[in-house]
Amino acid sequence: MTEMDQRDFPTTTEFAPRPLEVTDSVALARLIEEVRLAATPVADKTAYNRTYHRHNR
Amino acid sequence: MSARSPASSLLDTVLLKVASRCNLNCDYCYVYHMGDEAWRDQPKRMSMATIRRVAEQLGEVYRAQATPFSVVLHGGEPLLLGAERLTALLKALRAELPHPCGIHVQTNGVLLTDPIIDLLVAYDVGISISIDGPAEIHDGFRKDHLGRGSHAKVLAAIERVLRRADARSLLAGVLAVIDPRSDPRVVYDALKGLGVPGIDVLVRDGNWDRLPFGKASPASLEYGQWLTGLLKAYLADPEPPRIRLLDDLLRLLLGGGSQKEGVGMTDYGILVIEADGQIDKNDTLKVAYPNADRFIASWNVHRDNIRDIMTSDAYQEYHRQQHPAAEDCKRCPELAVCGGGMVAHRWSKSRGFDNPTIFCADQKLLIGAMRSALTERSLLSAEKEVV
Repeated sequence: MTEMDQRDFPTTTEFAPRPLEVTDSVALARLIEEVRLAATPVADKTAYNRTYHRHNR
Repeated sequence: MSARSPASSLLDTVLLKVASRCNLNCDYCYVYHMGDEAWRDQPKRMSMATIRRVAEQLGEVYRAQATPFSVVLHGGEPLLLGAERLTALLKALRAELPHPCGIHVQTNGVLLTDPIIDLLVAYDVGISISIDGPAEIHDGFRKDHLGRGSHAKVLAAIERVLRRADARSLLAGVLAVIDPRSDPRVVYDALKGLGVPGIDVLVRDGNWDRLPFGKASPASLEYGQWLTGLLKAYLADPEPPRIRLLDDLLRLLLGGGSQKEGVGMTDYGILVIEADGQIDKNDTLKVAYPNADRFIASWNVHRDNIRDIMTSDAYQEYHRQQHPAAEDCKRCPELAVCGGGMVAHRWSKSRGFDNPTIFCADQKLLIGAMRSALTERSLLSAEKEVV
């Protein structure tokens, strides 16, 4: 998997450099933890785990 | 090809069409009911000779690219392959594709008996089961060839897997196709109530010439509103399962990465191997027009080498096709999250794939709702700077 060449595309810089600890949403807290740990989407055993599988059916 | 191969030549997903027919006849199926008739020319089941050749070739790909990938048993209904050939297939695949390569089956569940589950356990095969929600929604579309709903059998299959301590962890989740007329809260509660760890949802297929079921016009928001309803239920749930599509989009907004095709800007490498060994592009392209998933050359595992195909100009062109080409997409500030949607959903006869997804308006509504949810929780700054 690679990142597409984004030179031709706009990029957003809206990600806020602020504490992300507090949220009332369990689903969001889980994702924040994943992103913070720079984990892959499939690293968490509770993730929808179809390791390396990208087809959407 | 070697470990230094261009990343665009890496496979991450191989779909094996081990059975070309299905024991269900779902109204919305992209394989049988979107105008593509290629399945009629395929053998009903993959032969032992093809199974052996597929396993050999995939082993060669793995050793060459040195990056793990996943194989998904697909169809039609893959369990129509039968226990004997399924055993041979899994044995051959696992011999060539040890962990961490993944082997998975996407099934309608009707044939998911305990002896079959034994096999999946033995070869560590992940399971995803298709179910659209409660019976009154599921049975409206997912019927057998006599028109009878399949919900009770599918439910029994899910319960069968979950009852078994040795199989429970194999269940990745369920895959649900959206009926935009339904109440997303009802569908969420029903799917969560199954006790599965994950849920994925699919929009109905369509394009600019053939609008998806339930979508009145390109600008209408039926799917965006449905998905936003699902998002609200998901974010408010104190014990949520995973929802793959929503997690992918939210993770991108939070600065992480996505997983599934049609979301975000991460490339994917998907190949399909048909029951006779023919090698095709992503099968979802069938949604655009008949044979849209075919390479110009007729490649087959019995004659051709997958590694050669992956370095061919035709494969590189197929790979580039996933990059959004429409000017509207290139200018869109949400492109990094939306990714232009699925290629198949961009199609029109007049402009080919050079369009935004037909779900563009829906995507914008959903992503906007996600931004609001994150902003309300001070997880995202309100201003959005486009550079």
